[in-house]
Amino acid sequence: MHAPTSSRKFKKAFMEQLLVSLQVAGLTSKTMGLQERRDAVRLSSDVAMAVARGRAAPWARALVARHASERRNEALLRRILGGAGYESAAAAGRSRKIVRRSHGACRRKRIKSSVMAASSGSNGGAMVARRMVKKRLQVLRKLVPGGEALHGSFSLLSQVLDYVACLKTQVELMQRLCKGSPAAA
Amino acid sequence: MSGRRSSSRGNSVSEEEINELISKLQSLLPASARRRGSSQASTTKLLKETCSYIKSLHREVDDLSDRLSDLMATMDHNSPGAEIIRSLLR
Repeated sequence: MHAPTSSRKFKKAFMEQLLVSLQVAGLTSKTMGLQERRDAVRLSSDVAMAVARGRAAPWARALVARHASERRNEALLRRILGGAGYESAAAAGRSRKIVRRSHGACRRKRIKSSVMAASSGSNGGAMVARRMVKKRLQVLRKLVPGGEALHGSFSLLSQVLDYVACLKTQVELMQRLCKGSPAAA
Repeated sequence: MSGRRSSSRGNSVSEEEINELISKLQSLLPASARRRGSSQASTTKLLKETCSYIKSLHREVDDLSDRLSDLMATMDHNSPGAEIIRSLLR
């Protein structure tokens, strides 16, 4: 189930997509503002990571959808993903299933789990620890793209594993680009 | 309770399920964050480390985006791609 996210194939695809995206973003333009350029680099990097990982990973779809849901990103995303790619990403960004569940469902789930913790078992220590685990999982849900739309802790943790592995690669590849450039000295 | 699998709505979490993925997660975290044992307390700690680690990775990517964008701003207009590709081939 886990894709080889630190494999050479993934890194190669990631780097290639990153280079294409950075070029397409027209970042050497002298007229681009500081913040705009920085945001374009971040977007290019995120999208490259998600595209290299593939549509099979929920976090990857959610990450692209998140960028697509901001209108100011439309032009750049259209150039990177193509028209069809952009359209489906924008549609996913509007779809609550992929990006987040409804607030009502989240509230209900939290109440239910604390009730379960209170009524189950006789070991007070285990109950408290179990609740803390739940708390931590809630935080993770917010940190992983699309985490709030995931059902169950098992799928959340699987996505966390996958996402962390890819994030490490993202850092590695971007460091390589920074180090490699002669202008960096 | 410990043998119960997570329902499709994910309302209950079995320790075994978490521990299985937790041990894989352990190997991804920086060495300083690793813990022995699989008690609930260390599971909580590990999840907390994971949260911190993800946040720090996000910050690193932010910082690298800043540096990369500065570099690209100073690159020669005629060969932006060539510069990068040359650096990769080193």
